[in-house]
Amino acid sequence: MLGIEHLLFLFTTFAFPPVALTVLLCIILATFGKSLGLRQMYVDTLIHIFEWGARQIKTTEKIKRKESNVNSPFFLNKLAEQEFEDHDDLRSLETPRFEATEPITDDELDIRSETESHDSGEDFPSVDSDGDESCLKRKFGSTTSLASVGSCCSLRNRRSSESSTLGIIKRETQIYLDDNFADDIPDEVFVRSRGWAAIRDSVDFVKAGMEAIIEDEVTSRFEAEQLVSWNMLTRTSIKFYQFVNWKLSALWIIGFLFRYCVMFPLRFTIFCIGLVFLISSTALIGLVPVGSWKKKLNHKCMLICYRILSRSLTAVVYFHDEHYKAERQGICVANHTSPIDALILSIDNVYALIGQKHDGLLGIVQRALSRASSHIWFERSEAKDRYIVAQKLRQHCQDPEKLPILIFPEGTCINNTSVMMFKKGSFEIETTIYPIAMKYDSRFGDAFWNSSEQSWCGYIMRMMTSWAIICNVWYLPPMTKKAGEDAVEFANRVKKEIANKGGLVDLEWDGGLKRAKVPPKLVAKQQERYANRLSRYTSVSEVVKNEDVEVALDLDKSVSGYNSLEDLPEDVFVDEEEEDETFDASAENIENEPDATIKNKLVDTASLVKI
Amino acid sequence: MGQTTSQIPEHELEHLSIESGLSRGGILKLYSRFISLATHRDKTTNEYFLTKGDFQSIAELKQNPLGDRIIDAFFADAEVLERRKVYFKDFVKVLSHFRPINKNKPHPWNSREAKLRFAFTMYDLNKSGTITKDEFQDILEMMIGANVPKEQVNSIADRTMREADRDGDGYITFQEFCNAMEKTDIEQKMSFRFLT
Repeated sequence: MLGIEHLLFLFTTFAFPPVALTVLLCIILATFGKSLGLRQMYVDTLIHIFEWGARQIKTTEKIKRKESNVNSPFFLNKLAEQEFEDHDDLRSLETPRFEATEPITDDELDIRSETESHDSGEDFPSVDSDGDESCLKRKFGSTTSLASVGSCCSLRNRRSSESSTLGIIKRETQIYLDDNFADDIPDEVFVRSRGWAAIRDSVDFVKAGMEAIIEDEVTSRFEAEQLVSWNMLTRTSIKFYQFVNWKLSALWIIGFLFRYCVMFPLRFTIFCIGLVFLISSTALIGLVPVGSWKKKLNHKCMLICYRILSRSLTAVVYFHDEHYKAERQGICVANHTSPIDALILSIDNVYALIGQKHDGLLGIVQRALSRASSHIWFERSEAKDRYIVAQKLRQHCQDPEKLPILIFPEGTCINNTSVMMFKKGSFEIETTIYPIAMKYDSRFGDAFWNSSEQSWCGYIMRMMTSWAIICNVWYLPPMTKKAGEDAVEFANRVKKEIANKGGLVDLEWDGGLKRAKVPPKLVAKQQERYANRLSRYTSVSEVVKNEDVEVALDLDKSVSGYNSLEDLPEDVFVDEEEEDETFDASAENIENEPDATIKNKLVDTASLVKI
Repeated sequence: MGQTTSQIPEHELEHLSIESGLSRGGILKLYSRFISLATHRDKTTNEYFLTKGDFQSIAELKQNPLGDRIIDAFFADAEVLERRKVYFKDFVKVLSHFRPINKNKPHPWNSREAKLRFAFTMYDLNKSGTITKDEFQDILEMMIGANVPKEQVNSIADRTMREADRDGDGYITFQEFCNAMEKTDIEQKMSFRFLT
């Protein structure tokens, strides 16, 4: 139809100059590495809007609850629960995750005090409105200052991510992998009387298992992080109601149109330009003979390329501690969250990459990059052969002309709330390690790629239609392997540093568990640990002869000690004669007992019995 | 997270909340956990359900020596056992046994007796209503593995049975179990600290 054609024509003439202008501006700024601070302003505006949205949600929720609760008989109790929920939302925000591992005695007190506050629903209405506002302030207050959104963002997010779990339960019982835990078994073990101990322990196991079903450390790391408040993207709205408010829905529609119709085409154009620039510039550099010229040229061009590409995702990246940047050869390790990690890190510094050879577009990019500087791309078949890969790595690191290599030792994408086990391959090579910690701010767009749920294209689409990708990068001081440290220990040391700096949880679990089943040796390890624990209060060691078997049986009775005489069940007095006898027998046997700890316990409990 | 479209219908949410004593927010969170674990969907009713395999894919549970017993507990209900699918309401029912006991709001599913009964079914492998020495020994072996020689496990099991079995018939009934666990703070040991 004529009318439509004209409209289209008009639209393109009006739209073209601004679009072309924006794109040009982006490219020019990227070339010189400057920034007008436009992205910063964009981010700040978004924060304001999100805050407003969060307030809307809260107020409509409150109104809804008050309306429904006036009619129901559970009025006070439900309101009290609501306060409980708010309170704990805050507490789960503020308190670091490590509290979940405290010994059980502390939590007992906490439970009692919480159930008490649970019932004090009377003074709820007055507390609520104030509590609400302050709750919001605490969540967002620190980030509204235009001054330093970057560092404030990082601090608040670090605290929240330390406890960012599904937030259904506070875990109290966990089964740990490291053996050191066995040393701090609390003394309350001895309070349990006489042999029923195994049943009690099994209840602990059951509880740990049940808690794992609700919320375990591993599975939750492979899903996108749950946000505290909604960020206007439906993809994150599992927790929030679909329809809350007309205003919010209108905002969401505007946001949707903005993201898909304005941002996406712009970003896509910039992305294409960036890609074309990458391929053509590397081709040109490839023609230059190897030497310092080539290196400098490569350095400049790569930086420009990646800046353009990062602008195509509206990536706002804050770099900290730049003086620790890798200058000479070495290995840079960082935690892995998404495929664009390498892109983000390359904005600031040029690295050599390592990875599997791909086909398609990615293959083209890989080949292009290889022309300008040396990267390590290995065949799929070689990937399985660790020795070859290690050889190549070593060769690269020893060459002073080459760039530092960027490696992600976790091996897979984790959802940026924790750092999982580092594979030891890259730590076996004798070279300096430059750790880098990366933390994304997921309010504006979650960069995490769940490869089992999304395809590569779907992921890129999602990235380009998010608000922005915000990331904080901390460079850490270089580390080297200490004498007498093996690769695994070194890897764990580096991992701990990275986790600390980025505010992530340091986990022992293997990222490979995303796809593979738990190996049976882990179960065996748990069993071994429990057996060790059991042997502390049952004489499980060194019972060989038949006579000794009987004596050992009765020895158990005295070893599993009593805290005080009141704890003794009644029939102990009947058995006491028996025990006196066995104590004498055990005195003889003490020389036979090589295990010093059990001997000491015998002596201690003997003094109790003798009373 | 492409599963945002499936929400629980309102009346069912209400019903579950009253039955289990959890708050609505808590049920919603549990539901999101449930669908993140579930890999199958019922074609007729379009509901998600969990199978044994889904439970076993939780790394921490698999590593737990009593992991299989815990999984069996979810399938303890005769109906659930028959169809070998755990729907969300069955899931909530089992987990709500672990709700902390609130003295002012007693609830049939989280009373001390209900919790003890749940623990009892952990040991009663053949669901006969009593625990024999062999069943108990099996549990111990699961926890300790091969680290302790069999005679030792035998003797520990023996002694424990003797303690609890008041009438000396070789079986531990539920009553005897309760008596033996009198001094244990079951409420604390078998409760989650729900944040909602």
